This record gives sequence, C-alpha cells and structure tokens, in this order.
Amino acid sequence: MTTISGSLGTARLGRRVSRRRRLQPSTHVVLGLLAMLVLVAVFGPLLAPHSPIAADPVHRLAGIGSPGHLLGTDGQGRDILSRLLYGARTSLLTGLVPVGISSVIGTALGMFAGLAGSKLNALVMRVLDVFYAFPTVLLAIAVGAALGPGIRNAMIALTVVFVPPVARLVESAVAAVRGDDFMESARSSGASRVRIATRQVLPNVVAPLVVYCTSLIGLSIVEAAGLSFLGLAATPPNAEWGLMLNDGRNYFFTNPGVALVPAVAVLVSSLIFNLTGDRLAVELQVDRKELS
Amino acid sequence: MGRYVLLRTLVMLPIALGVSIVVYVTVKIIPGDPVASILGSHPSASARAAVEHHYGLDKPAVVQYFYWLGRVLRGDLGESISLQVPVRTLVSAAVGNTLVLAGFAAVVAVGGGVILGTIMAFARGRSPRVVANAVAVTSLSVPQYTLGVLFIVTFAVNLGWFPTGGMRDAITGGAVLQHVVLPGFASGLVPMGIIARMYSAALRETASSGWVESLRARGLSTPRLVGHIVYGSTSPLLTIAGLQLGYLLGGVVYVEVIFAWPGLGQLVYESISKRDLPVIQAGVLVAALAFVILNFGVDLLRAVIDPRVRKGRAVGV
Repeated sequence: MTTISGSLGTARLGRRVSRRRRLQPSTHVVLGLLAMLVLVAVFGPLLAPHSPIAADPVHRLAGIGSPGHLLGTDGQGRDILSRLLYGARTSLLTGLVPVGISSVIGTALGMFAGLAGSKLNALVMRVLDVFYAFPTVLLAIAVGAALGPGIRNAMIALTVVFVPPVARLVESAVAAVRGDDFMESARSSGASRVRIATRQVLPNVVAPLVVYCTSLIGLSIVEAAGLSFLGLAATPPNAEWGLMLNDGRNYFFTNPGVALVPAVAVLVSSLIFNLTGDRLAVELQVDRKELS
Repeated sequence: MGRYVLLRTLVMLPIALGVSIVVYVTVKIIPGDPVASILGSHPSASARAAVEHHYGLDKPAVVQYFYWLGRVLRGDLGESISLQVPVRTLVSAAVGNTLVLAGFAAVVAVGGGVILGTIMAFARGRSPRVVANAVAVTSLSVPQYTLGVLFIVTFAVNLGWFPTGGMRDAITGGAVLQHVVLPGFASGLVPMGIIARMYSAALRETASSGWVESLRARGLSTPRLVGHIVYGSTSPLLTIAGLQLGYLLGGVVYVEVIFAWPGLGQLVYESISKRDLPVIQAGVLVAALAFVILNFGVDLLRAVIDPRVRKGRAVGV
C-alpha cells in the first residue's frame, strides 16, 4: 500500500536522510520548467505584444513567424502569441484551484472514512464508487452542463470529479497505517481522535497525496481546456486555450497554427506537472504504482 | 462461480442505480427553461401547462425520477426537445458509430499497450526498454484533442493520407476504415500508454512472486517461464484495460467533435448548446452504464481465468 516506510521509526529516519540529501539534477531541470510556466502565467499579460481580443481583419490568419505576429493571427486577426500568454493564467488557475479544493475535501473525506467504523467507511466508499463509475470527462460534462458555461462552473465541475480519487487514495493510505504500533500507542496514551488524525495519520498521507495531486493538476489543465473546447467553460472572446483550439477547427487548411499552438500549450503545461509529479515521487520515495 | 457472479451483481446494481440518480440530478438542475425552448420566450399559461404536463415537468422531482427510470428500463429515453424525435433513435444511431470508433481505439490501446508493456518488462538490453518506455510516457501525456489536431494537420492536411473528418465518403458512403484511423489513434494512444506502464509493472510483480521463483528453481526454460508469468498477469491486465476503456469512452467526446465523427460525443456536444435535456441525459447515461457493464464483464472474465479472484483473494493491481 502507500506507506512511505514500514514503521514510524524508519519513516522518521528516512525523511531526515532525504532532507539532507541533495535534489537530483533532473529534479532541478523540471522545477526550472515549472518556475518558467508559473512566471509566464503571472507576467504573461505584461509580455504580450498585442491585446488578446483586438481584431485586425486585414492581417487575419497570418502564419507562424509573420512580422509583428510571432505565432501568427487567428481568423479574426487576433495575435495568437498574446492570446496564448493571457490564456496561460486561466489555464494555471483551472489546474490549481480544482485540485487544491478537492485535495482538501478529499483528504477530509478519506481520513474520515479511513478512521470511522466499518459501516460508515463502507457507506462513504460505496457512494464514491458511484462517482468512480463515471469516466472523468463524462462526469465533468454532466456537472458542467448542469451548472452552465463559465470558468467558475467548470472549476466546480472538476472539483466534483477529483474528490473521489483523492478520497480513495487517502483512505487506502490511512488503512495502511491503521493497524500500526504507533497508532495503538497513540490511542492508549489517550490522544483524541482529531489529534491522532492530524498528528499520526496525516504525516503518513502527505507524501503520496502531494505526488498524486501534482499530476492531477496536469490532468485538471487538460480537462478544463477540454470543457472550454466543448463550450462549457470559458466563453468567447476570452483568451483560453481550449476555446482557441475549438476556433482553430475552422482553419485547419488555411492556418493550422490557430489550433496547433494552443493544443501544444496544453500538452506542454500538463507535461510539466506530470514530470514534476514523477520527480516528487522519486524525491519523496513514493511508490507510483500504488497511485495510478 | 455462481456465488461470485451473484456477489458481483449485487455490487453492480446499486452502482448502476446510483449512476442513474447522478445523471438525473445533474441534468435536472441545468439552468434554462425547457418549456421556453419549445414555445418561445413568452408562452401563454395554458400552453405552458400543457407542455409541462406532456413532458411530466409538473410532477415532484422524485416522482419524475421514478417515471423516468421506469421508461428508461423499457427502452424509452424520451423525446428530444429540439428535434422532437425519440431520443432513442438519435442515441442508437450514434452509439453504433461510437462503438466503431471506440472499438478501433480499444484495439490500439490494448494491443499496443500489451506489446509495449511486454517489451518494457522483458526486453533484453537497455535500448528497447528505453524506447518502449519513452513511447508509452509520451503517448499517455498528450491530451486526446491535442493528438487529434496534430494528426489532422500532419496526416490529413499536409500529407493527405486520410480524410480530415467524418465517418464515410459523402458520395460512396464507404471507406469507414480510412476515416477511423486518425480518430482511433487519437483516442487510443493515451490509454495505450497507461496500459503499457501498468502492464509492465504487473508483469514485473508477477515475475518476482514466490510461485514464479519456485518454477524457476525447478529449472523451467525461459519461454515456459515467460508463458506462466504472462498468464499470471492476465487478471491485472483485464482490470487495467477495463478501466482504461472507460476512460476511452469519455475521451472519445473530444475526438468525435474534432473529427466530426457522428457518435455519442458529437450528439452530446450539440445538445449542450441547444439545452436539449433528454438527449444529454441519455448520452451520458448510456456511456456511464456501458462503463459499469464493461467492468462487470471484466470482473467475470477475471474470475473465469483466475481462481484467486473467484475465491475472493486480492490479486496484484
């Protein structure tokens, strides 16, 4: 299961050793990429050469590398690079917010299920099973369609989608340490349930949770752009990658860059989070196989 | 075996029911006025009442749910609000098309995944493993719509090998195979990468298990040993494949829209903008139930080939 190491003693030791050990070189590279992505998202609007929504019909569908438009222009003559830079902020936001909220809710739910009696545990887990029975995209579409279009609603939909897997991960991490000696000694020394949950259980859950949620951010970026693509998140004329991609469907033959640029942007940013998750798994010594 | 089937059925039914409730509730709270979309923005009170009565919109929500469930179980999925034809007609036409696409993608995903996973686990020498691993990781990282766009631009627009979209030639009505290749690969590669990764992990885990060790100690030849390991890893493979095919059913939505494939995803996409409640409901329900039934089938298949599953002992993944 998702124990970091067997008992408390070795877990402590292992963590102290890994803290002293230097990060591996490839981790530095990946963290550098992540920092660049964050910088682009934060300062993107300052770097953008043009307005993301100013149409320029004369220069419409300019190809990649056109003078004044590094990545070309779309069907309305809007500068693709500027739209890309503005969209980065939305994309990062739709990656971070749903995962952030669902990791809190999911952790609480998973710890509750893991530490509650077997009946309550079964009840919570069976209800989660129902949500698990939906393919991710479909559940997001169902919830997103119900709430109506908008970035905020799309983030709510994705939060709903991500709570069950987080809760399940935490529940199994709790189950792995539930019978351990240190739990027994905490109970017999009179620690309250809440104290056991936060002081004994939570530290054993954090490492796999952080690794899993980091990769989940990548998925969230992909799905959020997907919802925009389907018309369920961002609305025109906003600069959002999924929306840009959908718009680009009309220009496959005239200017494929309109669809290609945002498609690749989604790929690159989700890839950065996936790689960060992989590196974190190595650095925190979490067994990835248990997480997928 | 009979006991196992009964047990799995008892687990599946409440999940299927829960799925139907979730679908019903989510679609029920869609903002917008379905009556207005039929009669225009200011219908008279009597016309409104008549329409509400016709579609059962005047009953309490719980009653409406059970009415709806009863009709669904009889195969009646209601009437499309925007097109005024039975939803069943729309959905059954679309489901067939989606199955063609999903079937092709499943072959890509499971076939490719098994081949890559086997190379990653067993290949002699470092380079084939590194290459297989790179292919798996790359393909699982690329979102299906990104793949779709890349494929269209490369293979349809620039090279002209395949059509950019649609399912059949406009004139002859044939050549489905030619049309399915690009969307099939676009939706199959992500699950392929995941299956490859998890299958190679399952193979390695089986290879290091006690019973394989004892076979090795008995002096079995390598090919026979590999045969045993592969058979022992089939059960986790089925579990992984079942889950990934469900993922595929969802991801197909994007691919269908990009490639203008006339399937379930396309139908749901069009119904979203038209606020056509019954069609969205039916589309999501059919896909989610297909996923539940698929995993039920996978569990039964695992029980047939693996006695450990039948006897309720946990196996691998």
